[in-house]
Amino acid sequence: MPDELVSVTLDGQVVQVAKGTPIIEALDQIGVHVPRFCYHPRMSAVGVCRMCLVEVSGPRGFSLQPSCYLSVAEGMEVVTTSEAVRKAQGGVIEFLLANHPLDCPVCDKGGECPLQDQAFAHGAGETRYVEEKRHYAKPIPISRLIKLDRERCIQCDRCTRFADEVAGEALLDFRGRGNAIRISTFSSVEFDSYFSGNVTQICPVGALTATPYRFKARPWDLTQSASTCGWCSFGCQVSVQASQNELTRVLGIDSDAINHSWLCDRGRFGISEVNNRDSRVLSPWLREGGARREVSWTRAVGAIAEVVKQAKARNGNASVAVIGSGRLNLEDSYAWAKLALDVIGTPLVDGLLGQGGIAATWFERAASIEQALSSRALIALNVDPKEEVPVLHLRLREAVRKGLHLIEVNSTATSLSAMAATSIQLSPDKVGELAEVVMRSVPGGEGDVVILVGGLNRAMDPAVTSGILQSLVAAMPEAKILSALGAANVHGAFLAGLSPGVLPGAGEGALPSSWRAPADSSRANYANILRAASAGEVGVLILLDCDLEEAGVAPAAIEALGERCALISLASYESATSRASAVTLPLATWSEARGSMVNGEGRMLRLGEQLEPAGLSKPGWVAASLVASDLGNDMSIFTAGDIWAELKTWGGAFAGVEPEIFNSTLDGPLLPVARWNAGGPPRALDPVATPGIASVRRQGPDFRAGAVLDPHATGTGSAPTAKVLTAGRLAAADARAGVSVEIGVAGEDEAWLVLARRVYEADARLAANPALASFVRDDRVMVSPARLARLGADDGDRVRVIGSVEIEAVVHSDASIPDWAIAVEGRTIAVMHLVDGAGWSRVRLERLNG
Amino acid sequence: MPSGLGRTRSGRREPPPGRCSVRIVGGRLEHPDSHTLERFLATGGNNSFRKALLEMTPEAVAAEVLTANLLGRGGAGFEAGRKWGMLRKAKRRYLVVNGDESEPATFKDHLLVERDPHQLVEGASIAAYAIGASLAVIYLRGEFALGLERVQEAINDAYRIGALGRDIFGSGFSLDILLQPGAGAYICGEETALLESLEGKRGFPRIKPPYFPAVIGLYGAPTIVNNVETVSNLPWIVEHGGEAFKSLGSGRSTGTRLFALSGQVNRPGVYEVEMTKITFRDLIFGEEYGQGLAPSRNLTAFIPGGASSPWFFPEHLDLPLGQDEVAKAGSMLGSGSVIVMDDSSCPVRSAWRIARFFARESCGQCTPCREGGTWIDRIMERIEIGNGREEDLDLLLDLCDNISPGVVWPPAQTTICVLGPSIPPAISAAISRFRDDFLLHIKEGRCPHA
Ligand SMILES: Cc1cc2nc3c(=O)[nH]c(=O)nc-3n(C[C@H](O)[C@H](O)[C@H](O)COP(=O)(O)O)c2cc1C
Ligand code: SF4
Ligand code: SF4
Ligand code: SF4
Ligand code: FES
Repeated sequence: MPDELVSVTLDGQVVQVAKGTPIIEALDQIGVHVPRFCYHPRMSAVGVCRMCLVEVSGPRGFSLQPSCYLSVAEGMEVVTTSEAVRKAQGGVIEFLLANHPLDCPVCDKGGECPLQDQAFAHGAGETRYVEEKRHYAKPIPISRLIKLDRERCIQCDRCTRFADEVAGEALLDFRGRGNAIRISTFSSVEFDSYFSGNVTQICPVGALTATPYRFKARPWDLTQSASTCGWCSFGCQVSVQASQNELTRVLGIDSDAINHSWLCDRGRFGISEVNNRDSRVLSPWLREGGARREVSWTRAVGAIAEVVKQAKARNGNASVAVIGSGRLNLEDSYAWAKLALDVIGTPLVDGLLGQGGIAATWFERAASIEQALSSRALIALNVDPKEEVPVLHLRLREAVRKGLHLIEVNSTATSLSAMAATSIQLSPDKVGELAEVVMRSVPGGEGDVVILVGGLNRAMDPAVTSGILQSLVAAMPEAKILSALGAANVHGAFLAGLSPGVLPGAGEGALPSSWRAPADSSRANYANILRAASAGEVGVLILLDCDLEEAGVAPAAIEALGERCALISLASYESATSRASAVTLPLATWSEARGSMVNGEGRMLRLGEQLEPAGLSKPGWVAASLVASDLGNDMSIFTAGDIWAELKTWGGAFAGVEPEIFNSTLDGPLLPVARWNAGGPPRALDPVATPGIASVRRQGPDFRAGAVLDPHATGTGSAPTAKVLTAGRLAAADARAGVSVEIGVAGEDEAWLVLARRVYEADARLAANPALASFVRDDRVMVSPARLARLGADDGDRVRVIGSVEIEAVVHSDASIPDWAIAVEGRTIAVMHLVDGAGWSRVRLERLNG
Repeated sequence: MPSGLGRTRSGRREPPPGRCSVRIVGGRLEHPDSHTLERFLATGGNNSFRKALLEMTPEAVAAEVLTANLLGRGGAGFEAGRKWGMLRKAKRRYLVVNGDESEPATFKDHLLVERDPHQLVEGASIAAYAIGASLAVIYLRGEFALGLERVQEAINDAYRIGALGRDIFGSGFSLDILLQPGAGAYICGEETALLESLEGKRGFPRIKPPYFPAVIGLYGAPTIVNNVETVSNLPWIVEHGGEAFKSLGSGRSTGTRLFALSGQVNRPGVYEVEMTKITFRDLIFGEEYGQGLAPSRNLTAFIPGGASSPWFFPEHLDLPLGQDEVAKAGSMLGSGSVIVMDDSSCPVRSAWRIARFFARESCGQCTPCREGGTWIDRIMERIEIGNGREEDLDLLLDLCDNISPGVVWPPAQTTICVLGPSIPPAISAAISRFRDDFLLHIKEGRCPHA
């Protein structure tokens, strides 16, 4: 529905503006910039700083009004150039500076500070303030990540509004009144929020600073490039900023489609692990005679080619298997898919840790984030956005406030529960009836029904979720799907063909003659591959940026696996897996290589490059290409551009994808491009809303077409020769496979494990992150009061949880946990190993004496 | 000394309202036990509420109030009947009675809540009936310890005798009244800050639009906020009719008003007077009222309507106590407090005290008031203690201009509410009228009055 327009006169210019537009935005549209502080386009207007006063006509003539707070109305006249406006704005600037310490030379915001910039533009050159300024103790750490300087604060209410309105965690507020008003946390409660870093980005002065960035750099010394956050699959748009080959900070870019400028702390402060060279794999490693030593790329690649050749010679192509975590970018995923499926020719490839079935159902009916948030009903299946794709939680809160009907299908309470219109319990014995129950709770009416699917409960095999998803889709054939699966590029890995039963593009498109049809999808599944490898049926297991320990395999089992077969890992970080590997190749990590990824709505997003790859690391596609050469088939991939050219020939998701597409969008195109409405030219970013992006030097164009699409690229496309499984048929296959994924029955003293994913989990990466590692919480076990009573334990007792491994932790009673479940709120890595690879893991509890 | 003196919490005696040909809100105050239910009932208590409920429709009550032209007594002087008429249609509506009275030298509501709490409850009940509210809140200044006790008793009494609760007097109308003590912030007397505070939030005035709580008020519902004295007039109006009320006073200023007289005057106190019928000279010097100044003192200035109103000087003494008359002369009757200054007082100090009060009571939400108020306070303090500079005078006026452009009356504002613009009138009046005093402070490096 087109917006209703009203006619207004802005500085003498008659313009048509959409009704309801704040005056300040209408002025922005005609290029008149009114100074502002409290106004933020992603939060409600409060009109407190009074910086944006302009003269507005009213029934009693013109008066000074805050242009951020008033909306345009038919016939309204606005004057921004009068003496009265100039005087009022100058007065406000002077008032703001009166008590401001003006310590710009030692302030992190100096050089990109809205107060500094607007004081230059609208203030007097000299101060008339001769009184003593306000003094406060400073800086005050209000959390482990944020420091507060109350003297610099201009009381703009942005941080408080963010915490309350956007994040829903009102942990910051004003205290005192008048001149003594100040930002504060509540008594000694930490500003502990997954979203805390955003306040440092929106603070228009240097009052809130991020501890990891404090005194690290001056903005004019930074270079930046537009990129996408690499920590989950939501795909937040970011500006990555670096100085002297070290990442200094990440700021959220205001993408309408995705993150509205917000980031979660996992994404924002993830750079600390990239910078932590001690935890990185910096050179190729080879295990010889039990010892690991650094070798050259040539040696390492040669060794890999050698074991692959030997294994194939001994037991055929299927003696080589590939597992990936979904972290490799799109280009790397494609190159490895080609190496595995085309060059090596193995059918055992799962780059999605078993989530391929879900991905296949997803892509046929992918919903954009916008569609999901404006749907008739959003059905959240096995997902807690706040823990899996955190910024979606912020978008969801806003959507629910605007009336989104949310139906939650989870095993235990989550951050959705308080927002959901209906919560349906996902219990092991009701899986069959679930679709029916869910369907009944969907309200009638216009608009899409969208399913948001995730991987919340680690103890539930993705195949179970996949089965449920398929039954929902069968019951509601029109339903669309938004995916919250992890890791960052699982969706890209799927579309690159790095998943059982799917070809690049996930369509029926052109199939290069050399590419063998993906084989038997039921065998090529993460769990099955692992089982086969443990049974000694696999000679070489290649791990693509995938730490098995994090995926749920105990270190002893990883070592055993290393004895059974040759483990080859491509890794950026040292982990139990890299240490147990026969060969490890150092992988360039996030921000060290240019590329792209695909998020959970199927949007292709750019990944910028800001650093030289650490040590000897190289982009994943280079590694694939080198291994391929040693195997005697160079794959015709010499540049990332070759990959782009080839992807395009696959059609399907990649039909019509050209790198130039990124020039016309702030974020990226939805795939397939036919689904995408590019809209107008990208909106200019408001430097006062997100200070720090406009003021930092850009490193060339965002996405240099030439670097990606090489002009020498040789198309490898040729006519399709074989009909292959499409995503649709794969879904059916997966449904059949679903029969074999037995949920099972719980024994007398057993219960079903609920092991919900958390933002902060003690994997190798988080451990390498000094800024975030302390946020991992202690393990604890939560059971229903009845189960606790049956166990004869008291709240706070220590218990042993017995599954495929045993862990000890404190037990708590929680009435929201169903009696059939045992929830382990554990973030140490040992907890992940309770997942036993069955359809739905079961565990027992034992009370510990004493 | 007339009988029936009220006692403040500190034990200080307060004189009763001065004699008047007709008493409306102060009618019961001649009785020492005016605050008791017995006295209330013995003097016609609840007759009006009963009459309204059983013999009049809510519209008829509102019509009488409109006819009476009852002006709001809380400060802005807006016609109560017109305000009620702006109520948005809604299922839920609220009445809030504003008894936060915290402005320096304003103490008329104080008298009413302590000395005639039942009248307040009856008035609130009539207002609630007229506007269709089934919940009314009386918001009293937290420091009114005795007042809080007595109003709560009056509410309890009303429930006991069936004047509150379900189906009052068999009329089918139900009403609950809650008593809410304030927590010590002057700004919570501003009606929208008051509503925020009632909702459990910080007492930040709401930004306009919406301009009136009658459109969006408490919990988003249309709400009428009326002053204690305003609603205390209602029983009389219902009993005698709007025409009778209107026949008192003249022009738009109808009925009577309470004036709190204080400062350097012989007999400070609260006086109920018929509007427009006496002048400031009568109030300050009249035998029945203030009885003049101390011997050999001359009046130098007086503030006609509370600390935030522009000052008046001897040439204004013969203005009648009427809303429009005072407005035309460039000030306001405001909250009905008249502060008298004689030549023994230091105008610099007086203006500074006012500036300091508002600076300290600023909610701190908007920049010009938060920063400008304190800045002005600091400069005034500097001048008063002898560290002033001549250029400070222009600076002060310019800062005033940046809070309240033009320093005109009624004030323009760069602020959210009118607390900030309450500072400039005193400063500009003091500087324009007593410039020599300022210069003397600066020259001598001390306060010449000290
Ligand atoms: C800073 C400030 C303080 C105020 N304090 C009071 C007060 O204590 N009591 C009061 O009745 N009105 C006070 N008001 C006026 C109220 O906002 C409101 O206009 C009044 O309660 C309406 O009642 P009325 O129409 O019956 O006068 C104050 C206004 C301002 C701006
Ligand atoms: S700390 Fe920053 S964001 Fe928060 S109120 Fe102060 S200036 Fe605004
Ligand atoms: S929500 Fe995901 S993509 Fe966005 S900042 Fe957080 S981790 Fe990164
Ligand atoms: S003018 Fe003063 S009291 Fe009123 S909103 Fe602004 S800061 Fe608060
Ligand atoms: S008042 Fe408009 S930007 Fe602050």
